[in-house]
Amino acid sequence: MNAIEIRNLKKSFKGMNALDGFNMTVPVGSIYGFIGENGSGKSTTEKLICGLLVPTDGEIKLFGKDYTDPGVRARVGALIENPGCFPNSSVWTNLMMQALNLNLQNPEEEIRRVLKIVRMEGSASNKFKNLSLGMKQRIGIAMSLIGDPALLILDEPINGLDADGMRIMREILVDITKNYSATVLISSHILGELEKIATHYGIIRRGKMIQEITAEEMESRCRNYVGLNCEDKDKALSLLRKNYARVEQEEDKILVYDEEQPEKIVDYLYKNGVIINEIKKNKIGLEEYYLDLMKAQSKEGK
Amino acid sequence: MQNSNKLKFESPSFGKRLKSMIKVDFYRLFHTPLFYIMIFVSAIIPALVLTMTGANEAADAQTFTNVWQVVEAISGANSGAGLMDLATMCNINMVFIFVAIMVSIFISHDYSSGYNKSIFTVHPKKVDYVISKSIVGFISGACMIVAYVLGALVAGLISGLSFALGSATILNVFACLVSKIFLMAIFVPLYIVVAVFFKQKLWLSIIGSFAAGILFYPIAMMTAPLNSGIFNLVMCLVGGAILGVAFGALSTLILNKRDLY
Repeated sequence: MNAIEIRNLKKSFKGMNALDGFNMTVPVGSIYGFIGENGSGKSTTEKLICGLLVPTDGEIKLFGKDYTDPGVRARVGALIENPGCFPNSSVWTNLMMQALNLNLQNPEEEIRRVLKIVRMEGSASNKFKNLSLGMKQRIGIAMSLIGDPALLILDEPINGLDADGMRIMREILVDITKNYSATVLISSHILGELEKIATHYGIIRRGKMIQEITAEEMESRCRNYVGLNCEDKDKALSLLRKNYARVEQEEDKILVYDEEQPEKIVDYLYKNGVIINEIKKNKIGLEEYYLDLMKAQSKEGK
Repeated sequence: MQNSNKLKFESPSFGKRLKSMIKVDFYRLFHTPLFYIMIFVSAIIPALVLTMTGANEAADAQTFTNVWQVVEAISGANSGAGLMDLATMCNINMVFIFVAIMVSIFISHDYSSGYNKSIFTVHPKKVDYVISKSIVGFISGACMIVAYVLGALVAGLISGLSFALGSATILNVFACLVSKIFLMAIFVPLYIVVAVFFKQKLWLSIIGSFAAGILFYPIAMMTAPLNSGIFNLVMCLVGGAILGVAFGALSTLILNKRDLY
């Protein structure tokens, strides 16, 4: 079963199409990394799933049911843009309101549970407005976790966090999916962080899904390359371009794609009189993969 | 407790959904100062009107000689020309203005804080929100009416004003107050329509509520005078129910057809 299934979704704002024939499939139990440029339609999609926007056309299904089904929506937790908390109320009051909103049997116990998950037990009595950005984001996560959600929708939850905040957030998200079997849809511009946790990816561009792949598929599609530094770069470049399909120069480095064995390059250049100072085998990451894909899309004029 | 996370989706009944929304709204009402401030304002205004007008007027030309004047007029006591008199304007019908402010703040803060995102993510049926807000607003309005009367009585007692009811009886006064409470069922849903239309724009919401409310203030004066009887009670109850449902349906329609932000 899929946690989210979107077919031919359209949403326009004053005649401008934010989403145009958008499709998406998020399997149950996955951490789905939702990637795209600013204004590509990520937040619009998430708001539509949460029922905060009215779709112009198309179909949204959550766990096989229509997204307006109250039973399904009671199991959705969301952090869209910023936590929806009253600034002058305490953390406890804000969380209590969400627990009552979900009609939980034992709201106090549930609040203690979620505060423990996000490691904020000591901040329950603080006013929400007095918390730091990272703490606010964590309270937002705690709020979305109330009521044991089967689907978590997180819009840029790690934006503005420091390195430690990001690490904690990453650990929390992995913990949620492992121990609470929730499906997580997470959008972020910090692709390096996303790469560490996502099991699936969806790449959106100009309101259309251009690619959906699993982390394994991405891994296999991410090409190997050898980065090298040598004295006579021009000569090395011309030699390598004769033997390899894709050779690029990046600052003071030469990148040779699709070569598994660096020693072959060392041997070839040495025989042709080029001395290599430094050589390293690498694999392109999510960020490079995404940028490559965007470049290709731009070239195709999509 | 809840870490099994089985994929069970039980659709809550209308009653359960409404109960949870009402619980949230009452929790919020009693955990924020807004409600208490509005109750205090409702009680202090008649007290101020009675004590301050009395202090600045000559003994033979006082606006208020009877404590019930600041509550409501007896039917037919005011001519059309006297509608703008201080004694006509400063009465219990002011509570309908205070409720406009309270409902506007209550709903606009839902939007400006972003709390509506949490509500509507788990409550896809917008009618729950409208009914819950109507009930909370209605009960708050009823409390304000009671606070206003208590404020007027205490101030009247301190000022030494007459408590004579004239041609009305204490039952008439009771019917008047209950009728005013029934009329809240028109005013509160009307203000909710305006508030959900203007979303987080608080000032527009307040001004819009005043503008819409003005259309119904004369009804509040005419249909529930101090000498109200059973006819007034029934009229206010039926009118409140019909218009309340109509305005509630309009609010639900607005919420269903428009984006939240």
